[in-house]
Amino acid sequence: MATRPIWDETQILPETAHALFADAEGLQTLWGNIDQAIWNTRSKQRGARTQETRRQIKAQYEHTAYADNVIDLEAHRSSAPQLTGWAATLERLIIEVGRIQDGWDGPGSLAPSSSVQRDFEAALGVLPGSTAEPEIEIDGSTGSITVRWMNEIAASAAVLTFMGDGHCIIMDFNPARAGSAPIICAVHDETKILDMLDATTFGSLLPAIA
Amino acid sequence: MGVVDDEEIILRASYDPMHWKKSKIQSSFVRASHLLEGELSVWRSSEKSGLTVSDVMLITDGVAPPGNTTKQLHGPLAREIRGLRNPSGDRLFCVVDETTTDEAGGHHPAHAHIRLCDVQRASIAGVSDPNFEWARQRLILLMKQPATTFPRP
Repeated sequence: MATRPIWDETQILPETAHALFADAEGLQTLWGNIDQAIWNTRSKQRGARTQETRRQIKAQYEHTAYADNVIDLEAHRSSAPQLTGWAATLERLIIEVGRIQDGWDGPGSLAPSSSVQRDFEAALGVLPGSTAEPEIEIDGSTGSITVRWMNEIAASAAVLTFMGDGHCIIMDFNPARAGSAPIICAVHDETKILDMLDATTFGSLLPAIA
Repeated sequence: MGVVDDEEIILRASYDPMHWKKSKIQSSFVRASHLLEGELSVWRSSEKSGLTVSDVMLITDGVAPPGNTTKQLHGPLAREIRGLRNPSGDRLFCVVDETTTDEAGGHHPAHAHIRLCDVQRASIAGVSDPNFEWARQRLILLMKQPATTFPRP
């Protein structure tokens, strides 16, 4: 199995990636390296920069690939280095959210804005690999995204909502902690997000985070 | 029909495919704008309304968005909705008799609305207010409990 080099994500620039667009093999390598770097980084500043760079590269790549009709995007994705665990789940959810268009939930309904998507990706990207797949709900009147982990009888739940303002609302619903107020957290504050979630129902539902 | 009694079942419909899409991404069956405006549409199943849960499912099928059918009815008791409290212990919601079912002037005697209590509504800045979102999520969680969910037979 080929070794996947760790990309120095602090050096990635969209222009660098763009230069590789003509080389599908090089692009696949770049794609894998970026993903690898994102899921490996534990520095919130580097992580934030990498997430943003990755988003720009993907947007530019998809635009180019579609416009030139030179690369089958789905085929490319399926041949790209495979993520596993929560990273793979999140990657799929990000793609699904990104496909939603205004009007998806009836006339006048809103899709998640680019800022909502960006916050969603940034905050959830810090969760551990053992994180279980949550419920994802989008509110058609606001375009906000809600992420929910709950136990089987829906008596306890940890919930995050993204409004697109650079923050997430962390909510803990647990009969043993009836007085838990919502917590506002910057999406790039990796330490606070993990600390807050660890103290909520999320921590008890997902022991691996502890 | 008058005041909604505490022991009435208050049913909110989730529709297929609107709220049950093939992907993992679902649309919320408690829309923020409807709840904030005090117009979250629900139906009453009780001796007072004379409707069973099955009767209500026929009604919600009839008013479903085009191409949709009722997948589930989420039905806590009015008492349980009225019993939801914010972290400070203050009551969050009212369940009120409201026969108007839509903006086109439709009416039904067994229709009602869930809305924020006046004190809560006055303190909420808008749909992005964290306290409002907390209240909305608390209501959704109550409605998602298996004991209060009625799937299509």
